[in-house]
Amino acid sequence: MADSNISEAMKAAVGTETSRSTSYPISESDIRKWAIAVYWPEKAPAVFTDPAAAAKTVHGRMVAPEEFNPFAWASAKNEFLLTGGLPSRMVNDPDSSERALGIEGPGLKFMLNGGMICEYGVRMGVGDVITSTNSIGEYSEREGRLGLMLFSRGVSTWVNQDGDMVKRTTSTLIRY
Amino acid sequence: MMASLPFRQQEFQEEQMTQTYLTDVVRNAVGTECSRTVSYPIEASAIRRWALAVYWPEPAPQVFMDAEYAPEDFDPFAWGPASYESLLEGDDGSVVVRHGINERALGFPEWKFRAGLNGGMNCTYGVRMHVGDVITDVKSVGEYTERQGRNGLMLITQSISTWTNQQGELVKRTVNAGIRY
Amino acid sequence: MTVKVGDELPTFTRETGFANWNRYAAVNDEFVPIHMDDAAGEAAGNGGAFGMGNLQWAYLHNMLRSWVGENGEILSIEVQFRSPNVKGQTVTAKGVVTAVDGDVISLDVWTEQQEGVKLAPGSAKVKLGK
Repeated sequence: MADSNISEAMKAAVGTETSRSTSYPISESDIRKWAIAVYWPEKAPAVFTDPAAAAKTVHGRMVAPEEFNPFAWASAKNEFLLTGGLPSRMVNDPDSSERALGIEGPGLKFMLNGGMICEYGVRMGVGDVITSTNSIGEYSEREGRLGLMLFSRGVSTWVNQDGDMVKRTTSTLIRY
Repeated sequence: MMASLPFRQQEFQEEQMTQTYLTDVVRNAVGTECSRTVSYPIEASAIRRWALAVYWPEPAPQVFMDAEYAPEDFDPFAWGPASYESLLEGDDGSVVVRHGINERALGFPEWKFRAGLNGGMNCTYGVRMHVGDVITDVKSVGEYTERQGRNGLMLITQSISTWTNQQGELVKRTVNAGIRY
Repeated sequence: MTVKVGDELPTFTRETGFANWNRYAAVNDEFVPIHMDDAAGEAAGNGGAFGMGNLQWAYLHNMLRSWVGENGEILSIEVQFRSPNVKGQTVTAKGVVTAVDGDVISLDVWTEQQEGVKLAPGSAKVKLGK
């Protein structure tokens, strides 16, 4: 394909583990605020805001909505697993994955969330510490509404402090 | 000059100049405690998130990332209190007034204003807030005054917010000033 | 609850705009110019600021969670973001049962705006609570 945005270096990088993050322990207020935001303007279910109500559920404790993000705002620890790569210094950098790999990115200007596939394991709850490991997924491209669109995927695997799988996500980023 | 204004506007201006906001109900309300709001216990993640937001784009000081204590301006009532009750007779507390006092429940006149301005805040700090603290906010009526200004008769109000922790220690006393006309 | 192919799930609906986009940004630390600023959203080809895909994702979860009940499980879900959630839309999350395999239910799920245009189509697998 003429003008492909997928370099040999990018193809060779598929499968590489790039980074690992460890969350702070999940707090009640994190869960409550998340639930308030995603149910707004209606009240969130009591299971996400009231520990007493949550204790009566099958989980026996306050658990988070499945799509909850314990890494929002800050992680207790962030590790880059590659040498030669650099964390992006730019906010919302379209080339951040390639930068982490230490290779040149396609330098496209715009990016869009292309969708996500998630498989869920055990629920996250108050006190849990989640470790997320990211790896590079497949690249593909096709002509679309906004021009030649590059589809890149990242795979993120989350486990809790007991090593139980919490979530595996494949996220697609569209760049054009 | 007054004589050159359209008739309606002149009438309005004259009305504004002769009335007073400070009726007996308003004058007698000074010092009245209006509401009691109690926070959820403060958690480390809330302190961290506040500090990250107010220092962004620079990193927050480590003392806040470790949640040793909260920044003075931290608000443990953000996103909702654990409980809210009105202390005014006949007010069931169903209308939560987060940043002021419930003038309607106090029986104040139903004023109509063209504009409202934040007249400023004055805070006195006591002890720091820590992880695990439960903060109680009691709001009370401060001084209400009025003066003529460029925009007509202006009502200048104070609402007072007194925060204490679970040990009854003073955390913060805020006087919020408002200007309405 | 007896479930059969073709069953439609109770929907989850929200009028969307900065009021919910900003609240979601605050909890997910997702302060991206295209979701906060009309000029940035327009430069990206969408006419103005638009909502984050992650909020559509959350609404789909809210719909499924309500249907499976407290004891149920959302097993997996996938979605593509096809059309942007621009200002002035009322978004509804919907689902339809496509297969029943023991206690695992497969569904088509999607969000659509007030005229039925699909914003985020996808599929999910759940287990109903006992």
